[in-house]
Amino acid sequence: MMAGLSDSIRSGDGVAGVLARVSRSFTGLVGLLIVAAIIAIAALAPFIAPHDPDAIDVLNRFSGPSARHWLGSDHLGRDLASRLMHGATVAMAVALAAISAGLTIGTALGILAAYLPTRWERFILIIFDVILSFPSLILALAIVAVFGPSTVMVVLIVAITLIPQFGRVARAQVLTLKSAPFLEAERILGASSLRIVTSHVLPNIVGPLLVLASMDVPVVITIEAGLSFLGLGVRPPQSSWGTLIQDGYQYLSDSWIPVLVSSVALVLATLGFTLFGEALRDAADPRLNRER
Amino acid sequence: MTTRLTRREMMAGASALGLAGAAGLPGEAAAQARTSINVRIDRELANFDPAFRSGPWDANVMRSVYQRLLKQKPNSAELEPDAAAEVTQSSPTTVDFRLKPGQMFTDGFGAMTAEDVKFSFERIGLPPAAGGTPSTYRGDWVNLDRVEVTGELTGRIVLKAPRANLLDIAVADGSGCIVSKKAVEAGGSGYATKPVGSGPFTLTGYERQRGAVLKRNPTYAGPRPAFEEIVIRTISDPRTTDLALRSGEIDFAILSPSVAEPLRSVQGLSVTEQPSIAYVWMGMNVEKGPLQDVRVRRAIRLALDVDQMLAAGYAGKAPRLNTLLPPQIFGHWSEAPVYRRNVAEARKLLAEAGQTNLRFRLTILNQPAFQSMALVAQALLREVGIAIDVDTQEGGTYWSAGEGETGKNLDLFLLRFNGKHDPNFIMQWFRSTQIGTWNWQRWNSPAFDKLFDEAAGELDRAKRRQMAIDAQKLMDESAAFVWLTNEVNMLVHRSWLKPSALPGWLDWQYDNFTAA
Repeated sequence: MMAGLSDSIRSGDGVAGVLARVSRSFTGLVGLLIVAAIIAIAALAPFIAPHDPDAIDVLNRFSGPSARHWLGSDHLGRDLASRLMHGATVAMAVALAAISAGLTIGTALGILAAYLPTRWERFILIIFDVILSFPSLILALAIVAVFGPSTVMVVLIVAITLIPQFGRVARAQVLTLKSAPFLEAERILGASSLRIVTSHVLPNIVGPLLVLASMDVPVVITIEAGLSFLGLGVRPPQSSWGTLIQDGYQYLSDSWIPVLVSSVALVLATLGFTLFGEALRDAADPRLNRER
Repeated sequence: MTTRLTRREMMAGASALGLAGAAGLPGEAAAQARTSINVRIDRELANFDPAFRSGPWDANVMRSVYQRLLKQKPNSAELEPDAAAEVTQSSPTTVDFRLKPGQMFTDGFGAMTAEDVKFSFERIGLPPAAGGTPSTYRGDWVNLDRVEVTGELTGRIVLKAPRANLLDIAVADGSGCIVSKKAVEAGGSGYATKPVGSGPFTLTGYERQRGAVLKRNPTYAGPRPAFEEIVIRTISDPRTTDLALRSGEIDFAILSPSVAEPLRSVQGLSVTEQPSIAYVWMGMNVEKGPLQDVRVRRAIRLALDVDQMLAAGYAGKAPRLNTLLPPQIFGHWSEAPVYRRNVAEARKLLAEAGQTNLRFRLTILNQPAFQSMALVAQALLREVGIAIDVDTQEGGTYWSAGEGETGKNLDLFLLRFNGKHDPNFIMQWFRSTQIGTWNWQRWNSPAFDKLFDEAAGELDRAKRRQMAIDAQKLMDESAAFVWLTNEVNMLVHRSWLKPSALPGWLDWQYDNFTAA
């Protein structure tokens, strides 16, 4: 269904071409701009943040927005703007790491499931079902209870919950491709299974998987923020949007700014990636393109 | 007799409050019209059996339901007769008592006798009969040999050795509550939530995680409480409590400064504060790695800035504590050294100890004040080259962190204990016998143990005070403790309500609450 993106990538249409198609719609353009801004801030936070995000200045706690502290300071006098920027870095790093891990492992297992004998296929599918049967937050609580909270744990938890999604899509795509005549031809010509998978199957299924991955970014961001809000995510003093909201909530009567700015950041990120993901899906779907 | 506190009853109470507010009753008239007050507590009520209560929050209910031989006067730690007409120390190891006649237990369990007193004290202080469970508060009655019944209303408490704090810690506190022997034997395991007493109130409703209802006891022989009903609501979240106070749902709560301060501007609410007798400190496990070296511990103490930690944790509202016993407690060491931050000296001590690149885990409870203080400590210690990983834990895990083998793995920790008006009660947790239980520092000082034992039996106040001070000096020399604060209680209540409590505001006297 969404082979268009794979086609674009293979045909050399390139990322620029895909982004051009994404930005054709208004919502797509808004999404693209927000995503670009967040990625830029996340990547450049160490250089553009006005202060050390962990520098404590207790005497100047809850100072309002000023030239020195653009968004004011928090309950320990730390610069909110800097913490918000570094929070973006954490959110993006977790999203990138978790989705890459989930995508890689999920796709590998999905392809294996499609190629291995039924017995093994069933085994892999059961594993997927077992993981899916756990609500992600409960799974997170269980893992954190055993291994203790850390950023690595957040990445691990999110990656584990993403594996079945990617795996199922990859398996379904491979099953439809498997009997395609060009693959039959390759096999008759004596190509090894490894070569068939890497040279022909993977490029053909990567499009839908990438769209799925982009749609998962807001989910991952909210899971990371949620875990950090509950104190199960990144460790202090590292900043995350979730810990910013939690700290702000604890001192809501002293200042509403920390809760407001960190919530707005979270909302914008979720909105931006959702709009971008949907536009990307539409851009990648050839049938939708024809309808326009 | 005990009924469940239904949601409908709660709603009815809240609606009545709302209507009173809507009618625009002036404060005084509202107070006169009120026969019931709503009190917030932050912990779940669990067990009203004096021998197995779960903490001060249960004891607050118990002191309303039961009588003791002696009780504290309103807003004071001074004792006055309660169930007893007379209590006299007849020798260093014997205390004679005579009960007032005609004090009736509720639910038809008859008049209180000396036999009930004997049963109440011995079931806590003496080993249980075969197969029985020992009381969790056995320590309150340490040195108890027996209680002799010398008449229907008279008896004698006999000790194995003299005890200085017998009246304050055992007789007039939670472990001195007098139960009906017949009622406990008839109640079985259900007695924990269906207490039978002779005090100013009876427990008429109890629901786990929601709270309890106390109603005036018509047969109580003492002064009549001002309010017909006390509704105790369990609300653990401070933010929810803030909203409940603003909406009129509750009339009384203890809160942290950061939550209580903004309520000063709310009309109809009064906010008052008092230093607490709960004490907070950073402890160090003296058995663990580099922390075994006293120079490392002293370096940590010098690298910290207690005032800055308190500014972050308590908005600067909490008083600084420089020794174990808070100033309100007998035996407080007023000349204890006040350590100021000295980075150069701290670095020098670490260099002498040959320690570089130190890394410790700081275990804390997931409370905002502790989290803020831990982050400040982390930043301060980083400057002397000590890296800190803050390990925030929820209540269940945190409170067992120092137990048994697990306790050996602790490095640094922030801890808060509730105090009582007695030096030995507070010092007991630092004895060597408490290692693996509450002595999380694993500090083993035979000299401290000896001073503790001597102070426990010393009836001369001046000598006892000096022993307590000497014991605190030993703690200072160990450098295993960085005293932080004895906290501040911020009491928020309706302006027309006049609460009553022992100094330190941990032990509330609901029967002495009045309309101002």
